[in-house]
Amino acid sequence: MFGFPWAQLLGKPIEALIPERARSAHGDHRERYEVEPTMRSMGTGRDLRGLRADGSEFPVDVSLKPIADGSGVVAVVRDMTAAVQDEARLGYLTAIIDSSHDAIFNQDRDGLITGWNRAAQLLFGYHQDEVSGWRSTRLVAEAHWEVYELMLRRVLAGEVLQHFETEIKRRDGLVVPVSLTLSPIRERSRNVIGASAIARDITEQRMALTTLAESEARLREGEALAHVGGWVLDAGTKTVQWSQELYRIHGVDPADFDGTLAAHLALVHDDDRAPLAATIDAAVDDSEPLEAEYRIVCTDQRVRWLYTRAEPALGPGGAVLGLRGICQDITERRAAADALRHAYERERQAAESLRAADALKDEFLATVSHELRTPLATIAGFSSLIKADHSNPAVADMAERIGRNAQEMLGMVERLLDFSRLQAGKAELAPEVLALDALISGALETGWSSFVDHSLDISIPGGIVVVADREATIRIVGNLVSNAAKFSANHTPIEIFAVIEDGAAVVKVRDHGPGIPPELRDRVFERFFQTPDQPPGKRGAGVGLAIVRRYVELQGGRVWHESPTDGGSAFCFTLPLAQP
Amino acid sequence: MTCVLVVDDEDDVRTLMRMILERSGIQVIEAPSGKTVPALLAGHPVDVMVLDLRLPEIDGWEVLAGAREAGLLDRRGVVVVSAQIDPGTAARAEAAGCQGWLRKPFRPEELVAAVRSADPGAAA
Repeated sequence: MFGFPWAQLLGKPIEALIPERARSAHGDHRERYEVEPTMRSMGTGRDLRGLRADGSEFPVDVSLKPIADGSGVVAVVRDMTAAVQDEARLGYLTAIIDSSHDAIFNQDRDGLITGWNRAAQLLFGYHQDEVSGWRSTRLVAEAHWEVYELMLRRVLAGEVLQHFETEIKRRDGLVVPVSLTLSPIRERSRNVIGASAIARDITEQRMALTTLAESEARLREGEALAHVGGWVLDAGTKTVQWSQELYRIHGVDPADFDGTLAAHLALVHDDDRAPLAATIDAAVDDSEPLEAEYRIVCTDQRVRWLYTRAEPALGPGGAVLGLRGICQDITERRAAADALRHAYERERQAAESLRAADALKDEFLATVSHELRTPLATIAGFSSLIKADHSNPAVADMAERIGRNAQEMLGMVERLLDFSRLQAGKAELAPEVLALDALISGALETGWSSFVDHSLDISIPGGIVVVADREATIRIVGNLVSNAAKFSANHTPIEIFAVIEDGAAVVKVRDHGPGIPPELRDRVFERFFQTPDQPPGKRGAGVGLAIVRRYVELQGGRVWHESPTDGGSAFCFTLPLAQP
Repeated sequence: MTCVLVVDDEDDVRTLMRMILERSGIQVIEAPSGKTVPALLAGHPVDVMVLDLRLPEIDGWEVLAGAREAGLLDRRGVVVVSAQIDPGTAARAEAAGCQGWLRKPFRPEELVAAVRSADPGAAA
């Protein structure tokens, strides 16, 4: 073992068999052993080394036994070289197993777990101590127990089973798909003493496969939903490849289609075939994208509209190999667009005839009003002459009534004429810089309606200068005052006054009538609006306030209604102040 | 006595004007169209012509221009009458040498006032 000849060692201290560096420590150990000599294994847990005659070292294990008469010690030395090598190999194997990302566990012939790597701990969620001695079957999901037991028996009989897919059950109850490889473990005598299992988590792989299948299905679904198919043309062979959806769009069975460009074009409507063929040729020749809408005739003779778009497919060196395109069924879209176009056209015609009718109505209104004015004015004029001349009070009274009615009618006709002019946008305003007091009193004098039954209380401060159209203001004031007169009792005052507010002149016409009910206040400026309780004998066309609003707005002002707390109504409008 | 020539195609309107003016002591001669205007102006001592602008055959503006050219309106006043007197019409009337304008329908006193202010004799 040591390689020394007996004679060379005889009489030498035992340290001759120990490497130089361990000799002094060994001497101390020896002295202590001599004090208390019992049989024991020397240097347990220590790295003991022997020294050979050739100077090489080797691992040893030493047992000491004192000789009964105390004359010495028997030392039994064992060469540990092979054992240490086995241990190192085991260490390497353990490291490999522990660093594996696959879960590895061993079971004995009875199927009881004997070993467990780190990946197994991660996969199953159990520590080795917990599962040691468990039947390995417990690790598999219940549904697969029977199969697993069967597999295990086959492996213990010497078979290797690779990559069979099953499911394991984790500590948290989650079932995980795995790929399992089972192989027998043999001892030196080649007897099978257990089985090792390698389990790989294939959740992601499964998901990837599922996702791929799903996305393929979605693509098909999408194609079908969008009615979009794909096609590829090989320009050299004049052959085409169609996607599934394209067959569906054409209503053609793949078995009945020979895949030639000619067969493709044969399905196209007679009128569209030549242009489409030319477009395809041009796209190939010029290496240009293609876009076309054309009709096909399906096997059931239905005509459908298709839209296609394609890009040239280029080979090495930029040569055009063919075209790659998509094709969409746009029959419904075209039908909808056609319907929309027709509906729009009908609508446009209807609107046009309405506009024409409206213009005709405005013209009619203007003509009638205009033609009514002169005879009415004549009646009013003559009746005033009769009234003034006649000495008989009864005749004078009748003439007065004739005149008053004629005036009233004239006022209505004037308003209608005004209104139709405003409606037609024909009112041209000529704003001037005017003194407000003179403007308002002038407007009141010019008004044809007689306000004789009411007292006008005019209070316009001097010095307010506005920009206004004289005629428009006459109309505004005339309408407001005649409205006030119409809706308030005779002999009550109508107040007309002005203030400056927010940089504008505000003119207010206030009556002492019953006022306007709150629910009607927003509507009084609408055209043709009439209060439900028109005063008896006081007619109107319902356009007075609409005219007022229009004239006020044309002059850059606004108009509104106020309800004074002490009753009646006040209509207010603004006129822009002249720049000082 | 002021003398007025009323030119209007409507008989009722002419009559009304005549009666209103006569009540104010104004002498009135009538013309139903523009055709007789030159002869009437030449043969009568007319102070003011009240001229409707909307006349059949020859419209008021032409009548005015013809009479002016013939020298028949020297030292005579003119009041134009129309249903539509807008700022443009008023300006054109002024440019044509008219002394006033009257919107139809008119009140009796407006007619009298317009005639009086256009009368060159009264103004003098």
